[in-house]
This record gives sequence, structure tokens and C-alpha cells, in this order.
Amino acid sequence: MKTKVKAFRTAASMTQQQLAELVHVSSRTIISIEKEQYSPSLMLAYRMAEVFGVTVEELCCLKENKRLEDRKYEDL
Amino acid sequence: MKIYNKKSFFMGIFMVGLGALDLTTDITNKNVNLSGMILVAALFVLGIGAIIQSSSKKFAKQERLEVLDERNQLIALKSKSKAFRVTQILSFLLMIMFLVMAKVYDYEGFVGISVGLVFALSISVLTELFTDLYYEVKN
Repeated sequence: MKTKVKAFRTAASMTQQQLAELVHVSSRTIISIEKEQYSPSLMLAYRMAEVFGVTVEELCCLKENKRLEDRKYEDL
Repeated sequence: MKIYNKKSFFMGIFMVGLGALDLTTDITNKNVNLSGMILVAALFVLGIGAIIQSSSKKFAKQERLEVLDERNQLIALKSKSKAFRVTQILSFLLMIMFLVMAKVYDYEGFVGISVGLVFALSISVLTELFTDLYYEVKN
């Protein structure tokens, strides 16, 4: 899933390890989220959004991701 | 010394104990050799390391975090599921192979092995079925 975690993290001058500690996950999880290999749970997304002071919708590009997901169902 | 991680502490004690037992046995039997000494040294180093780690609050927190990490949990779940599926497929293929071998070599032992594999496969299929039912009801 596409997210803006990396953009917000670099804007906040934060390392992956620092963010990981703040949201109680391993730094590998943050790396995977930034590489779009892993989709965070709702609670983790909320924790990260809280750290950056943004909404989950904004952090996780929900509108864009929904549009992408909707395409899968178009042919059904 | 406060123990924060009991599992790591007992693992360390076990390793040191095993090393000490190995060393005692080697000395008693007058069978002291280089490979044995390397093994004893490795057991002592790993054991003492585990004991030291078990008393570290930072390490215990890090380990707890690794256990609770949602990505780690997902990986564990996926890998176990995949391993189960691969085991089922391998069991099925081996069952077919042993049945063919039983026919080709006319040896009943291979039929016995096939029956054992069928039994294991049946258990795995039934377990999967009941687990599926359980989670259908629970979730």
C-alpha cells in the first residue's frame, strides 16, 4: 500500500529507528512500510499519523489507494 | 541481579550447564581434544551471553517488541501456513511415489509407508477443516 510515511518522516528529520520506537514496532516494519511491501494495521497507521500530526487518510493516501483497489473490482 | 527475560536466562543456564557437563565428561574420560574444547568454549560464551542479556532491561524490551511487532506476527503466520501447505503437497507426492514403488518393486514395505503418509495427510486435512470451522465461528 502506498503511504507518505517516508515523506513525513524525512520532513520531521526523524530516523526510521526513532519512528519505530515511537510507534512500538521494529525498524524493519517501518522500512517495509516505506518500501510499500507491508500495509500497516489501522492502529499502527493511527499511531504514525498521531506522531506526524496528520490524519490516517492523509498518511496512508486512502483516496488514492481506494481508487487503485476499485479498479480490481471493475471487471467483476 | 534482576532477571528481565526468564527464557533467555534459563537458556543461558542450560548452555553453561551443558558446557560444564561436557568439560567434566571430557576430563573424566581423559578425552580432551580441540573440537571438544571449541564446543565447550562456544557453549560457555553463548550461555554467559544469554545470562547477561537476560538481565538487560533494554534487551528484554527489544525482544518483547520483536514478539509484539505486527509484521513479525504476520510473517510467522504466513510462513507457518506455507510450511503446512508445502508439507501437505510433499506428503501427497511421496505417497504417490511410494505407491508406484510398491507396484514396481512388489515390496509391501512401501505400501506401509504410503499408508502412514495417507494417515498423516488425513490428519492435516481434518485439522485444517476444524481450524477453519473454529475461525469461521470465532471471527
